[in-house]
Amino acid sequence: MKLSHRRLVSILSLAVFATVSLGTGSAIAAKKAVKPVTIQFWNYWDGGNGQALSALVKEFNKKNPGIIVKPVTFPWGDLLPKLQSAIASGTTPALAATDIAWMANMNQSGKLVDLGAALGGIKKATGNIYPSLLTYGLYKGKLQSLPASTNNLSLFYNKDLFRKAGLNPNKPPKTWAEMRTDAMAISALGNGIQGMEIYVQPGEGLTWQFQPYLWQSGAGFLNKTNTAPTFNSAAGKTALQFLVDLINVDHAATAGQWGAFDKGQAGMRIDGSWMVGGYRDNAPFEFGTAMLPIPAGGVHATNMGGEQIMAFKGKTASQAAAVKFISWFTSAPIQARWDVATNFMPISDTVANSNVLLKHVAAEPALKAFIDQQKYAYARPAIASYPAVSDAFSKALEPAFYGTVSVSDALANADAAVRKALSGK
Amino acid sequence: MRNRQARTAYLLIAPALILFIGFTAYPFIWSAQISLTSWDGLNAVKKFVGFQNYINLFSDAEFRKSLSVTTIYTVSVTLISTVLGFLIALMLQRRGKSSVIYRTIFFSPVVTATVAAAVVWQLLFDPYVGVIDLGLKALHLPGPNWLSDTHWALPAVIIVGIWKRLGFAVIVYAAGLSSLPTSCYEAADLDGVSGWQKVRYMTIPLMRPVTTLVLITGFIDAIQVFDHIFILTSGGPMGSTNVMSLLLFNQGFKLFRLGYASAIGWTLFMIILALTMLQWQIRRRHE
Repeated sequence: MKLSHRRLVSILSLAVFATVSLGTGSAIAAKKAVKPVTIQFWNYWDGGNGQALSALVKEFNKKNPGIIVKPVTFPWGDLLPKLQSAIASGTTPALAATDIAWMANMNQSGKLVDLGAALGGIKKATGNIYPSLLTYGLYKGKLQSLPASTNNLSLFYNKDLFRKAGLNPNKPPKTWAEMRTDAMAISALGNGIQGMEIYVQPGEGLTWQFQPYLWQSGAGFLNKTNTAPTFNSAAGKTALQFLVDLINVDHAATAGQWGAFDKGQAGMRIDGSWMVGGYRDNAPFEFGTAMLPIPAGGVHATNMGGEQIMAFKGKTASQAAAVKFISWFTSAPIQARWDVATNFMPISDTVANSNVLLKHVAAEPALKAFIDQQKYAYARPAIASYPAVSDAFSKALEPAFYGTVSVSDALANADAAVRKALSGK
Repeated sequence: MRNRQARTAYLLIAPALILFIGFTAYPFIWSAQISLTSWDGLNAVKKFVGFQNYINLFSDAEFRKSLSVTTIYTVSVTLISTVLGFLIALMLQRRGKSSVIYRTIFFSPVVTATVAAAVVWQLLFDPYVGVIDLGLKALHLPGPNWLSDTHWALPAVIIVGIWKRLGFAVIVYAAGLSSLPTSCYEAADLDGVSGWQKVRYMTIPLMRPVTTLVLITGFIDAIQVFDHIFILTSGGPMGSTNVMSLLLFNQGFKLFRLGYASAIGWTLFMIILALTMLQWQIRRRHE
């Protein structure tokens, strides 16, 4: 029977339609099968650290074709408000790296992935990471973040100014008394040059710069249970009086904004290991580093800084990708390369003893002070009220640096303010 | 017909209304709700505390100091920029066509990104390399450590506030002056009225509506200042530049006290509303 023209066209159209549909369907299915999971990694690592991160992320993405990690960098002061807004609105990124000082509050959000459960147990997830660094990640028996980096504070000094002041540029001060003598000699050069730049702006900056003096003198900051301050003591008064006298009696330092040392206008400053690369490349003077000077009868102590990396709860694929990245990023070989690129400190003995890092430290002598001092690093209290405690403490101390309140009164005020902050009122 | 017109009108304003509800009205109401809690901005639980945040505000010495700093800043920037703006607009009125160049120069700070401008001002105020102190030293005058001195930090941020605001006052006054009737001034010339008398008895009264506008907008703008003070001093030294917006930001986003910060925000809003209504009342009485 001859097919009618109309029927032939219908059959052909149906055939073409079926072919196209099947082809499109398999193309879509194929596309779905290979479409990688894209996740954002929020952080505040800019400049050289940002470039180092980008290089490592590129390497991870290449080795894991099913995952695309996109670093998103915010200024330090902007990242926390961004995260707060994201948590409140349910628009968190898959990954973030934040200051350890924020972790006590971040832990309470209920939005962090339990990395211990995701990585086969806390012991497996943490390996031989230094126990003090795990303080910030553990919350109610769960591991909610891992250390992404750590650092500490040491003394930076301007060797050119040391020479001009008749001091030995290879003999930085080891005690508070030597630091005072050296500062006075440098400030005697005149022309607005300070012997020592002291950070005095209220907030965590002042607190974290002053805490080493308290630990070195034996005063401490809070008690072992983080329920009461301990700094309002004879040792605490000695620590604060030393700096206040340096500013207001010896006139070897100025209370004010940060920046004099960078411009070669101050002989010494306390800062972190992350500054070594920047000074090496950009400082208009020869610089050196040394362990923090200590008082007579005191102990070595410095402040521990760093970042924690965490994954936020979300879609299964994104969460899995984030956990995979965290496991890779915190592994010893990657951490060693990360520390070489950023001059951060090792998070474990395995990292510290890796050939890559040992070779780098040998080639970068300015890092030695930080490496030697890491074992004396104190962790700040990992409590939710710490930001309020730090703020209250710094605001009470600030007038002492400007000479408007006595050291005793400043510490007494700080004691009362910190107790109030600890009580949550 | 009328219903159709009304429907069309609603449809046309719908996009703007949706944006207003989503980005203004809803956050407005939500922040009022948050101000009644002790929420830290992260915790899943928001604990209701009633009006405790507002009660704590007025017994908080830091808030009282911030209110005082904000008042000094607002009054200084608003009044000085208004008076200077008027005087400059008067001088430009006589320049004719060449005043366009000057108006552009004066208005450029208004359109400059505040953060970028603040970074430049930070360099200008630098005690070591800043042009201001170098200039003062060249004149054998002492150059203060502007941003680190408890006496000079507030004047420094006020100077930047005036620099940013001045151009707006100049443009608005210039527009107002160009719309004044020339016949009054011609009559005054015939009567032998002096320049100063014209300004005092004619120009200033005739410009009262413009002055009200400049003062109200200047006041609302200045009382909410944040950007350049955040960059220049972060509220220091010793709280001498800690304006209310900065206090709100620090309480909410650095100290994890979002409930308290919301209460500060609402208090600031009520102050602005009350003073704006007072200004309108005073203006109505004059009329």
